[in-house]
Amino acid sequence: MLKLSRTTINVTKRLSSTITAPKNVGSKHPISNFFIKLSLATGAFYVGGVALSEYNDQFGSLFTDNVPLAEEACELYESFRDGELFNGSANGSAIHSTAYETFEDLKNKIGKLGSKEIPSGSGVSPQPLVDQNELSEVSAAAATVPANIIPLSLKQLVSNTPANNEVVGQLLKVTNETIDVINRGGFKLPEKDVNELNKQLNILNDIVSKSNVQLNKLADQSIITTSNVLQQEYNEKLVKEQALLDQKYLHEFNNFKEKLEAKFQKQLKTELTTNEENLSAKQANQVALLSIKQVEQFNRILKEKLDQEREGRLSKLEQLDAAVSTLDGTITKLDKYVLTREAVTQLVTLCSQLKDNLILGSGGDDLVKHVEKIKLLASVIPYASMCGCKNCKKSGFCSCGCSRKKKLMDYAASELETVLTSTPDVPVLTNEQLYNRWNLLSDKLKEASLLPPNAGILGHFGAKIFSKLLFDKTGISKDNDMENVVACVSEYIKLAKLDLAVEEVVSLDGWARVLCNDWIIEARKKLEVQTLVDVIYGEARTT
Amino acid sequence: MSEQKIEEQVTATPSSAILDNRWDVVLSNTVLKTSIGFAGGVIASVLFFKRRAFPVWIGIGFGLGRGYSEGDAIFRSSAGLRSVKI
Repeated sequence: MLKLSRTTINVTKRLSSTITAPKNVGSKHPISNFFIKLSLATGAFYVGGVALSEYNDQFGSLFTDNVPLAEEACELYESFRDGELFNGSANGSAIHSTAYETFEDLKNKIGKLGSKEIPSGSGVSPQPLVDQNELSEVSAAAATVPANIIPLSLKQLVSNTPANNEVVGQLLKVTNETIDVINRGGFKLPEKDVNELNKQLNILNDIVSKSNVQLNKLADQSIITTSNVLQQEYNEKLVKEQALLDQKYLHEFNNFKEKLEAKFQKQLKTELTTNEENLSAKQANQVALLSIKQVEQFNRILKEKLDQEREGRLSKLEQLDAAVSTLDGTITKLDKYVLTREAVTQLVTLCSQLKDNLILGSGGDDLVKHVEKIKLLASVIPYASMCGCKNCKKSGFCSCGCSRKKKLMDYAASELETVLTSTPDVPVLTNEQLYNRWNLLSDKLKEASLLPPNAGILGHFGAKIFSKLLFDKTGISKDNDMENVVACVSEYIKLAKLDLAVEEVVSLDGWARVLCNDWIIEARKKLEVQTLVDVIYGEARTT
Repeated sequence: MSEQKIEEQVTATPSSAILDNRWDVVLSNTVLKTSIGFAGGVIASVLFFKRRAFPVWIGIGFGLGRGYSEGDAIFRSSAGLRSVKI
């Protein structure tokens, strides 16, 4: 085809050169010259556009889309190139014959031109424009074209056996698609070539079928072989896994068996121990029940014996029991009475000793010891008057604890202890000591009685001097001067009327009261102790 | 500890001895002030008055007067009463 196109191009070049030469010579008019140039330029433009469109698709699309009649020109060229211009037209035979004649004429002309020698004077070696072989081929082709050209219609490949192999399937598919493309292309070839192609396709189809069969056989064989190998491996693995599982199962089974045995052994031991304990307890209960029955039987026998003897030796037993009960109460009462009497006696004795100590004078520690004893004895002595409850009336003495309530003796004893221990620096003086101390105070009291209010050094000095000039008085009188008071207090102390003496002294005022303060405290303590001892003594005597 | 011992040793003055204690304080104070006045008079006499006698008498008078005034104050008010430490 390329050769044909080249020859065609060369021929057209020559023709154009031969045609244009006389026109250029003959056109002298400017208008006709313009049209000639215009037509030449238009033709060159279209020829160039068509030629470039053949080599460049983009330019071809651009050329056909934008230039009028470009598409028709391209189609015309293509039809010319493919030979359809002369074969596929409506008046095919006429055109074909004319074309054939034209082609034959051209060939003859070209052959003549080729065989025609160029004159030597021109300086160019004579060479044929076209090779003889090429011309013979072109002539042969031109001679066969009109013989048996039929549309190319190829048969598709069909496999007799199903294509299990993917490669074969794809090969068939691609080949059939290619055949479809070729069939749709509308190619036209000589009948001989078409038959040859179909024959080759049949051979290819047979080969593909055979190879498909062989591949299927090979696949089946490989599947069988592989399945055998896999089956063997599976059996071996199965045997191994089974052995492992059996071993593991036996191991776990043994462990579970040991645990279960240990658990049940422990449970059995516990149950045995429990049963043993239960049995021993039951046995102990039976023994206890038996002993109880024996004791009951013994009691019954004893009761029978006692009943038999009750009318004999034990006939006075109930009377004896009542007498013993009465005696018990009597003894208890007597014991209580004796205890109370003993406590009262000791209390009276202690109070007497305490009074003697107060009269004769003794240390404070002795008094405190005596008071502690008095407290102890006072707690032993029951309350003189009963609480009046049923128990006290019935038994004749207080047994319900009401006698333990605090009584006057207890209060007095605790108060006495408080008085003695609260002021340990203040001694409990005797009457003689109090009298002597009062006598020592009497001179100072006389001096203080002469002091003026808010006395200075001269007032004190004067009172000291003039107190020496006062006369002493004796006896009890009701005057309020200091000499009478001093005499009265002295008389009261002498008569053991300490309370009256203290009353007189307390009524003093001023410096006299200040000077007598310590004496009053001592006298009051003595009075308190003496009074409390008298109270305890009186309580003890009346109990 | 020493303060506690001192406090324990302090005993209250017996009420009968309050006036006597005041007299003791007044007299001792008067004697002390008189002695100080006497000493001051002697020193002044020696240093400034060529051993004359009147500065000594003046000093004694000042001491006696000071003792009297303080004694009067002691007797008149309770502020002058003092506790006796054994």
